[in-house]
Amino acid sequence: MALEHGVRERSPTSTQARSNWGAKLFFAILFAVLVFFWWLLIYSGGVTGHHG
Amino acid sequence: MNWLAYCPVPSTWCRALIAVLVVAIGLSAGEFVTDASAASHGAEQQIASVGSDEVTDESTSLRPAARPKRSDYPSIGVSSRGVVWAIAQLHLFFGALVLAVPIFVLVIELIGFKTNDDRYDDMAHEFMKVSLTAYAITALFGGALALSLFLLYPDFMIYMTRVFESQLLIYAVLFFLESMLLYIYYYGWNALRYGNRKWVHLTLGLLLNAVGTTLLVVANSWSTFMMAPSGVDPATGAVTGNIWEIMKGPLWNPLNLHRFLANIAFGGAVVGAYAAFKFLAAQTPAEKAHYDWMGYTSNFTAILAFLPLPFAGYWMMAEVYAYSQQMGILAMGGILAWLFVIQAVLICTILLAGNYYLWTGMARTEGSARYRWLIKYIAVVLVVGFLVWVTPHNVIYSASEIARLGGGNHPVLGPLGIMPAKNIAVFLMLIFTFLSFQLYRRADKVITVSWQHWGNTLMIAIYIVASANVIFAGVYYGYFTNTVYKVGSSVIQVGSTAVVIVSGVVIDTLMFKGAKTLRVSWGKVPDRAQYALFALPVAFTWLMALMGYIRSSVRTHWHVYAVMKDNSPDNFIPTLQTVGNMVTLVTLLFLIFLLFIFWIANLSGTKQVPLATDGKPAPAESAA
Amino acid sequence: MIVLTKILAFSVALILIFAGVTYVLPQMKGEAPEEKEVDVGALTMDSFTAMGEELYGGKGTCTLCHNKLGRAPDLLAFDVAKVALERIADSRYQGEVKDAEGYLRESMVRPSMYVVEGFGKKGSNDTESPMPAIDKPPIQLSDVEISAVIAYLQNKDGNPVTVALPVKAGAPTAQGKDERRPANPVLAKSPQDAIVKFGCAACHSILETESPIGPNLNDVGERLSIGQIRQSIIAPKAVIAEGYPPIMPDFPAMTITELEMIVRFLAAQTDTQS
Repeated sequence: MALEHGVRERSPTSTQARSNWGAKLFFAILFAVLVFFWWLLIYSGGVTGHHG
Repeated sequence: MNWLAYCPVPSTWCRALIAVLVVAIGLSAGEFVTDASAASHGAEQQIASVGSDEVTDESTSLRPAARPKRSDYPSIGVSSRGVVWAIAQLHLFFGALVLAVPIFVLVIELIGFKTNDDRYDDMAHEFMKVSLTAYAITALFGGALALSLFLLYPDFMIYMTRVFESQLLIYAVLFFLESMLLYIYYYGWNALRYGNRKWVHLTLGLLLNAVGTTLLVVANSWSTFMMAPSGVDPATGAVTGNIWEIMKGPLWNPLNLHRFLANIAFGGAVVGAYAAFKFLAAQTPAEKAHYDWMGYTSNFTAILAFLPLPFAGYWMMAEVYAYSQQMGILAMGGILAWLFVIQAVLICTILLAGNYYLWTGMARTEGSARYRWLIKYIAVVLVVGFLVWVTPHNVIYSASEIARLGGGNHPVLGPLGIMPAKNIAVFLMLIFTFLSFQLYRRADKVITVSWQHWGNTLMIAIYIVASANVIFAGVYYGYFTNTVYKVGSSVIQVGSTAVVIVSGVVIDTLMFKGAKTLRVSWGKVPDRAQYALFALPVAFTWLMALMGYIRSSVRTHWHVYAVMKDNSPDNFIPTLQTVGNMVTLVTLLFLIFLLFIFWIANLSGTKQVPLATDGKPAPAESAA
Repeated sequence: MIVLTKILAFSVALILIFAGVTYVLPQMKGEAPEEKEVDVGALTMDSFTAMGEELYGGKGTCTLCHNKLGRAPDLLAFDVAKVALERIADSRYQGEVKDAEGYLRESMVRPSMYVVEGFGKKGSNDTESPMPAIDKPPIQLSDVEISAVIAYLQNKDGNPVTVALPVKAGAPTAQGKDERRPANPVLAKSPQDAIVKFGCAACHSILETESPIGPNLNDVGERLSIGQIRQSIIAPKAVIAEGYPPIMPDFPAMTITELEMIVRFLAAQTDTQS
């Protein structure tokens, strides 16, 4: 079976693993974004509360 | 289609490159901020980095905020405050739109991806078109705002730049990121349409939202610093803390949450107007159906984001009171109190418009007939709630009026003027607005689960108990306990409302399993429903300007509250008429710019038909 | 085009309705307080108390809370001089004055010395007052202005006015307090400097000084962890050492750098000296 240029033949399991890397990327970035916002808004350089 | 085939270098390299780029983008923001905070404020930095012509002096003290005299303020012949007010508010309008649209666009895109329904994806793409033009206008007003601030309030700006220092550079860098991501996200839509590429596209959208939200919270820190300064010496304004202490004042996170939610509600309302406009101008039933559905989705987004707003606003006011009771009382019990009565008018317009749109929308499906009878009761709750909310506590009476009343307050209406009555009104209005939603969602289904009788009974019981809770908690804590600021009732009221919303969603999701779906005739909705979709953004815009004014005015005659006094000719609190004029002016300007944006969005999709061979133009233009 | 016109007309009409609401409501303008020069030499007791009355409802913003709505005691509804003496004698009183004039002044600059029952900050059990210090921003009444307000309060119930009229020679103007601006804070360079700056040695034994009022800090590093030391400075009332009075104040002017310097220094204080 002739394959397209640049495409290597892959084993079925590794194809599966590679075929949804997009979803993994998205959720990894989502996690990173949530951590970033925790760091920015909640942790905020370790500043303690400010009341009066 | 194997995109890897188009990759000029072996696929593993491509993947590695993408991973590196993504991680770099994510870390660079963090890096910058860490750098900024490491090179923190404080005597060490001041002394170490004092200008090259100054000798390091052990006794160098921290520079205070300037105290300009009236003559130090530049004058350009018109009210400086008015100029900055208008430009700032317009910048905030467009900034809100530009930040909010990508949020619900991402959600809609995800829904389209999961349900494999192209309609969602196309709608998301169309919404982004609106956002893109708005982005340029946001930047224009942002630049104008910066220029006008430096021109008209130089001493204040010198102080602010001294306080925030490198954080301002971070803000600038974030804009580069935002632009990059926005353009790739929009223009790469069709190139990154399916499979893993779609996930990449969604990731870009996610990053776009992350950068946008970061921009929001950075800019928020300037506003909240002006209201409740932290990280500076209270007596002189000299910077004594690091950038984190300066940013994380007591009002920062409340404003962050409030603006984040309000932006989404506002953005939903504005694209709803776009949809309504296109609906009314549509020529074919297919177009009408498409824009009707788009309008429904926008209204849904707007009201959904709107429902939690009162809680966020409450948190904000609670923090204002905790920071300075004086500031809090000034806002709600002093000279600014009337503005909250006006706010009542605006919010009731919003709720009535949102509800009215749902009620008229029930005409799309014949299953709604069984629920029509409830509508008038919901309307009654909304109208009575509005009347209670709009009732003031103290009015300035003449002597004869006081004699007739027998005191300073009206015997019957007086109690309606204080917070507990208004809390009851607001929460009941929210509960019954949710009821409208629930009825609408049920209208096009015939429920088939065996336990539907119990499910419905439970739901009705929840509504009754929640409403009773709201009323009794408000009445008891409001009128039978002795603290004036009735915090105790609010927790029960908030909880009851939240229970209604959460249980409503959960019960309905379970009850809809296997339900028979009736036909929904998208497009078969009276034109007046579209006018509700115009009322929504108009009211939102006017309200946003009004509340922005309150937030600014509560500082009274201070640029930075209690730290840097405002000695400009405009340092007084203006009359309500002046406020009404300014808010109306910026709302009208926004409307004009918005129409321009809609026109551009429309124009970009229009293709002129080629001229006929005799040189005359062909009959009709086609919209692509 | 017709569609656009109808939409515009509807929107503009709605906007004008909202604007109309602002027109029908009562109009008020909030002027910023003017920095008036008080001609001290020309003051009579009558004009002094009148000035106090004007301040009470004006720059002092007293009536914002002290009114019938129940947020703070309505001072115009009772004899303040008489009640002041009752309060001084109350067991919950934490201040140091002996007479009504002193009480009135103290309640303006250190309002938490006595908090009337039911009016304290939520959760403070009536030990913390929500009232701001009147001599500090944003209200920042000068000494002369505070005295004028006291004169007004004493006079309004027919009580004798015990405040002296301000004297001209070397006397501050109404802006006096502003002119004597506090020096800009200098950040302490070393932990010893910081300890001196914040006056720790007034109550604690540290740095060659002895004081029995508070716990000995020369060996505090053995008794408390870094976190506990930090907490004692940030929230002195959180944990009171047994046998000592709960009088350690807060240090709102202390910066994070200074705090950390002191904390690290104290954590290293183990009993190697006498």
